[in-house]
Amino acid sequence: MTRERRLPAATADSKPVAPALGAALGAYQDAVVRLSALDPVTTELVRLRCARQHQCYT
Amino acid sequence: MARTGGESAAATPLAPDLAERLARIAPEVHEVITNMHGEVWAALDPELLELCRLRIATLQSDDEEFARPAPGASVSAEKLVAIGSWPTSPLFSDRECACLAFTEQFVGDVAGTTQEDVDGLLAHLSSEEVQAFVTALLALDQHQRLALGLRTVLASEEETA
Repeated sequence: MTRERRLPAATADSKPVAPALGAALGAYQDAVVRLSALDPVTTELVRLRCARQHQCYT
Repeated sequence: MARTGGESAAATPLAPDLAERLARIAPEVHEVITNMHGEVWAALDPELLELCRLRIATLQSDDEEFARPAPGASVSAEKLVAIGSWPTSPLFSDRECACLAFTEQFVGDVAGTTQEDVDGLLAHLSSEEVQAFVTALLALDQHQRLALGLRTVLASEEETA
């Protein structure tokens, strides 16, 4: 699979526009994955499916 | 739809029914998602994001989301009425049209997003702003899908409880 960069690479002058939002999104996703109502394997399957759907390979 | 635009009523980051359900069934998520949606409106022009929030609500036929007080910034009554006809309406700027076009692609088929879609944003936003915009869009889209899903799945159970 070829994964091409969608946005220009960051430069030394680049500054994130909304770092607090990115951090808050990470905290939200972490909290969702830590939920215990669903078993860990099913949770991971859902996480991977979402990642593929959003073309997120990080 | 009850909204007439330009409202100043107090608004909360989350739809009230979503906030209530999350506080009850997943309090550890309720806090962080509330914080995230507080940050959404500081990420980029809040009126631009509000247009996208409203467009997502119309695409998902979510009248409750469309009608609730604007959590970030209000848009004019004229734009509110014309949101579904943005491609031909003179009310929307090129920047707003680019973001609404991307929003429609994102909501309808996020896996089908192309470089051309991204380039449409880059014509009006910096690379860093595009990152912020797409992150905010993800949060707005997830919010509405989660609210709709829980409303659909849990409402009947709650009525009989």
